Amino acid sequence: MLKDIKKIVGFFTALFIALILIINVGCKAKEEPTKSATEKPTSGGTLVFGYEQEPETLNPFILGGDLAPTGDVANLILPKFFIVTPDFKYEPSLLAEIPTEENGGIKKNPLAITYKLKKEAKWSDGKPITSEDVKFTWETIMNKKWEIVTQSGYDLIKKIDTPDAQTVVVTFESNYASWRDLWSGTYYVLPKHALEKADLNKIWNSKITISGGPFSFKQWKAGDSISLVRNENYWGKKAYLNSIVFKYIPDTNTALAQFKAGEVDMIYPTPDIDLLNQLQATEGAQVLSGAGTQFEQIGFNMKNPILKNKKVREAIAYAIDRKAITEQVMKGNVKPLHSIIVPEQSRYYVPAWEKYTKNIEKAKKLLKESGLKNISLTISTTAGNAARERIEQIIQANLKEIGIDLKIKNTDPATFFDSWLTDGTFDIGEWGFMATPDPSGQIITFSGEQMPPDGLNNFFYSNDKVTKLADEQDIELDENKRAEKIKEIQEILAEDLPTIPMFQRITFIAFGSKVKGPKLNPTIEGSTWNAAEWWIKQ
Amino acid sequence: MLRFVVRRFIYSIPVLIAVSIIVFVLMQTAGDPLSRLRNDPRISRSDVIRLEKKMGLDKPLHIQYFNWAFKFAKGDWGESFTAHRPVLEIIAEKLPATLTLMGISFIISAILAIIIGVYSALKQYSFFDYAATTFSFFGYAMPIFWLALILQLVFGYYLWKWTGIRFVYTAGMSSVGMEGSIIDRIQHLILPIATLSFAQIAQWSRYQRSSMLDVLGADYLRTARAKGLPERTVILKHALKNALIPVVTIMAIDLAYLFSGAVIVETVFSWPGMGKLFHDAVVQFNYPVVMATMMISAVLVIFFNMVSDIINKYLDPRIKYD
Repeated sequence: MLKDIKKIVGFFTALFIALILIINVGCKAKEEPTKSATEKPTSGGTLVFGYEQEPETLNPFILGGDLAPTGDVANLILPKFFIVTPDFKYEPSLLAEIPTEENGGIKKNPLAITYKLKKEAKWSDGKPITSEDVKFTWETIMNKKWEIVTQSGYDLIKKIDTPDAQTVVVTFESNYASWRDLWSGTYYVLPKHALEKADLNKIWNSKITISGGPFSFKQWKAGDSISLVRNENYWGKKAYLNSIVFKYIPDTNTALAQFKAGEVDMIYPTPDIDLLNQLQATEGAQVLSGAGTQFEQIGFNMKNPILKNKKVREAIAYAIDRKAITEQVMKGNVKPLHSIIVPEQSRYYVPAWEKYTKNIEKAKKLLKESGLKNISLTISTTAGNAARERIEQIIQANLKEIGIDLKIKNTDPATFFDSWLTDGTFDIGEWGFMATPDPSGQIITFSGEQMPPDGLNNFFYSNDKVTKLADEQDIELDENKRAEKIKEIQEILAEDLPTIPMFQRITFIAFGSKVKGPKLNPTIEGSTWNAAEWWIKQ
Repeated sequence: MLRFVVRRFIYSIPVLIAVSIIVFVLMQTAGDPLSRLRNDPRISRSDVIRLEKKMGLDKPLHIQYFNWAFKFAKGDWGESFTAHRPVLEIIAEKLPATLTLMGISFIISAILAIIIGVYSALKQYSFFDYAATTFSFFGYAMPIFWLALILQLVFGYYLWKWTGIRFVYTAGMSSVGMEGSIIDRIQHLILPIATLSFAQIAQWSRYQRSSMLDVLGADYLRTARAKGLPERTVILKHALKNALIPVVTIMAIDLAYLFSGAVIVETVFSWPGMGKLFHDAVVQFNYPVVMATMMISAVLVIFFNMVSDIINKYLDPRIKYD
């Protein structure tokens, strides 16, 4: 009987292989690419985007929808006021013009902003996008029934008037400097006529039923892919691609294998230098890389009696070789970062930490002046992160040179962030920050009013001047005055040294030779920000 | 027999309750679903407090547990915190993929393991036996993650590159636009099933081999041969039937894990199954999903242990249960 089984198995295996050969060899003839002389965008084609994480829900307003997987899909479907370009500029998308004091868009005392929407803007069902939709969005966000992620900024709005279909007048309770992020970023303008009677906690979990952007939702195969098709009724420049399919590939190695094998056209993987090198070496791959908005920094726990001593912190700042660290970990892809604001935030950036280069003599001198001897400290970060662990090792070696004994003690991310950083049970910490087009988040962290557990001042740092300036910049509407305050904060921080910025992480996308049009955007807009301009060379 | 089943059933209830309490407490002390929001500078403290209240996370631990337990007993398994959909619906979505993968793996592994084990025992110390033993040790020692990636790279990428023909796909359940094709489905199934079966066959074939060796030395086989029965009947009818008993009981217990999926294989091969669902839910502290999946696992383990005991008793009349 064994022999019979072997025969049967052998037969089916041979049959299977034969079928595959027939199908593939037969089809191979059609795969020869035709050469095209022009580079003019052509309409048509489907782009398969290998994406790492599947969205939990497609509704960007409720809990679970606040992450990039949801945003990268919603960005193609829903309209918003501003889009942030790769160089951190706010470009009006749904708005006809940027509100300024000159054009009467901004009135002060009380703060009232007048937004003008584009006349041609309309939803995919033909109904126009109006001021009513904008007001409805605000009401939805403030509605207690829904599990809304954040109401920051929207809770400062006193009232919204809609004098005509294209005009929205928003009156605030108090001055708010980050007003450009409203109805933008991770939030959008919602269609009143489609949602006013709906249960927002349920309606857009599995699909987005209407479109105000270049693509419309078509299908979500759970665990596998989300398909979008071109919105033929789009009020802006119509997309070239017929459709985009997000294929969900949780493992980075798998994504690389699929990309190389041509099973996906584009990937946007978790940044990793080795992966970048592998991609750049792949035949036919186009890779765009650049400094991202996430950056690494060293944070001091100012509650620690040793670290309270400013000379000690200064000594450490002059002992750490930031240049070597950046070169070893990032392999020359970025330069050391000299502030808690990144250079791309050009209006606010001042390289205040530039003077801190490795100078062992100076470091030893400062340490002597501190009066402390035989210093022993620990450095902590999230375990399992090879890049961060490397940083710790280099710093350990650096500090040894000036006589500081540094021990490395890491833990899992949940414990690190929710326990150690929040309770202040660490000495020196290494963790990441995110730079946003509006720098408020990066600045407020250093305010004396943001102590954990309510705030994120994990440095336990308090400087009255900084606290005062941080509050002032939050409500300063004059762009130049605000920039002045933010620059001053950076100078003070570079002197007080609660933190030492390290370097920006890179971000990159890779796409096949037939794909044209993608541009890297390190901001919150993400990799799909200009998907309407993508096309496939047939 | 009935008494046996009823008694098992009654014993299992406190076990299930204990499991649910332990898992619940462990999850709560390990972290909370809103921690991601707490560390986001754009989201204020008042936002987090508001959401805590809305999701009932500000209530004391035992109140949260009893709320969950009462609803669960009535059949309301709650909603996923992040997907805002009923947990039952989400599990029902992932279950077919898991059952396909694990089920086909199970069947193939079972058949091959028995064949390899029996043949090894019959031809003990032959080349085949040594090869099978080496293969088994490999299977035990091999980290699944590594094996999965190697198979993916060699057969999914390099084989295609060298021959230009796609025999198997690197990941996913189907290709874009070819969802109906059976051949396409099989091409996607081959690598994950091979990965899963490798370790499974290694393990089961060893049991089968040693069980068969035990049986081959028995007296009643000598009697059968003395009676004049053909060797084939002696082996297949008498020896194999008895040799299968311990192996089948082990396989019955492993049936419980059919529903749990295999998180590593599912991740590497982008297979949307229960393993990945459970893993993601734990990482996000998505309690409703974690609790529901754990309870299903616990029930299945208890149930299939009982089934395995019953099969054992049925196959081997020497065993008595009271």
